[in-house]
Amino acid sequence: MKKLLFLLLRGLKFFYTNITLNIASILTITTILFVFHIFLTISLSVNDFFTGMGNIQNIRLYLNTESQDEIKNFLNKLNNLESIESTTYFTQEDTMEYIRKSTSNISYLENIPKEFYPHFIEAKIKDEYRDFSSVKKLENTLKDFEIVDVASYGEKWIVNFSSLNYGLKIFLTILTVLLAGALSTILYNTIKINLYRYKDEIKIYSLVGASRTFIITPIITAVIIESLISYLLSAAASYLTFFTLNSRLLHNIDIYFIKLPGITTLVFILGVLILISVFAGVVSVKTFLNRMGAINE
Amino acid sequence: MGEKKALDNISFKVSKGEFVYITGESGAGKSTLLRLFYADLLPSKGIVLVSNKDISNITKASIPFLRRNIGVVFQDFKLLEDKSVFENIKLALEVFYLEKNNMENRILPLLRRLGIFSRRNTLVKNLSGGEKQRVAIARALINNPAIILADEPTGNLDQARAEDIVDLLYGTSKAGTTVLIATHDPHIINRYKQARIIELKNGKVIKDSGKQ
Repeated sequence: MKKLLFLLLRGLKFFYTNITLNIASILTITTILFVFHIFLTISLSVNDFFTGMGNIQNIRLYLNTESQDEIKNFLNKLNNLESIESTTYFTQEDTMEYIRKSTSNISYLENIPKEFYPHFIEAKIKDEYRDFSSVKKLENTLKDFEIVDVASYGEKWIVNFSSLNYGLKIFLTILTVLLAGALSTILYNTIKINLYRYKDEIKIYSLVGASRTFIITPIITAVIIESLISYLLSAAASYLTFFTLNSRLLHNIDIYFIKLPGITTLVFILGVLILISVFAGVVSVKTFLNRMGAINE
Repeated sequence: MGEKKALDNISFKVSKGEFVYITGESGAGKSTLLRLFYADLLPSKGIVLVSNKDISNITKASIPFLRRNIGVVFQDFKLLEDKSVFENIKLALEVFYLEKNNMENRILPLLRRLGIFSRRNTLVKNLSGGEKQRVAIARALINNPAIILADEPTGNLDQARAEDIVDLLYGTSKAGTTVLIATHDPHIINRYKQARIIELKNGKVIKDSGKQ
């Protein structure tokens, strides 16, 4: 414990001594993380939005009969299906009223008589059957009824949303990998530059019997501090950006699209960043020590 | 084919507390020989025993433990010019995670013994060559090593300073530390005529005064 504390304090001193040299590196890492946060927030928001949009709650059944007996009979059958929670029958008149109410600004609808509106059944799907494959299965079951002309649940939109969401996730994954590579390279090179400045000191430490742990730990500590500062700066900048965007613009026009990442996501990203930093640090120091050459050359 | 051997077919043993000169012309292999003892080089063939331990194939992880028992002094001092005398010696104690008070208790008496106590807070770049070498010796001695290896320790010093340094190292051997000095300076070698002399030429031992 005493040894660890000693090495951590040396790391803190190492960071403090080199802070002016490392400012460029801190700012670069902050910028990279800021860009990542922006894309992550947008991705999370879009995902949330698409999930909401793609949430299939109802299936609408357009019928090829107007016989009330057949419809009543069919409603009974529907209510007995395991995946159906409830059903509502909309007559042509109900449909007309519904559309007129929900599109109050479109006056010409007033001139369309009720005969031109469809009648249909809206079947509410139970929560546990709202996934895409269960809905698809239900659609096939319903299509087998002769009375059903069309079963509709906005499939085309959902498929499009899913593809978009999937594409966005691939984009974010590629971006994450590229940014992780960029971060590792920046950290690797910054550490290397610092190590070259301390080459003589490291050689002397090596001469007097310093272990690799003694040499490596303070440097890794300094890298972690550097990454932590960059992360806090970028997270704060990102939060401020979206908070301002929400409060000053989007919320004023009733758009609640932006969803900020939760604390678990932020801690996870920090964890990954620290892992990348430690990895870059260890590789940088080890390659440096292996290539440092003999003490008395 | 035609590869020059830095050291060839060398075999000798140095006893505890012995004071040995390794001598020979430039390029004879003196420095190479010393580097083998603190594992700055590993032999391509043969065995190197230090304190009865074979270090010919020593692992990187074990090298620090070997070096903590050996003090090394160089012609070019290998000190940090922008640090003070005290800070330079402190480096050798930091690897043992000693506390500041403990470090002071060990460094200050040694500086008094070596006559550089008054210079303890002076930056190394402001010291004379002789003083720098005393600091280097202090760093080598601070952990009470069993062996001191000095590679041309007087090469950058005038005659009087060089003799001072050799006297210091000789005194250390009298206290029980094994001292090996690589030098080609005849004045230094003649100062302690009773000392063992191992002479190298082209990587081979051509004379060993300690051999019966």
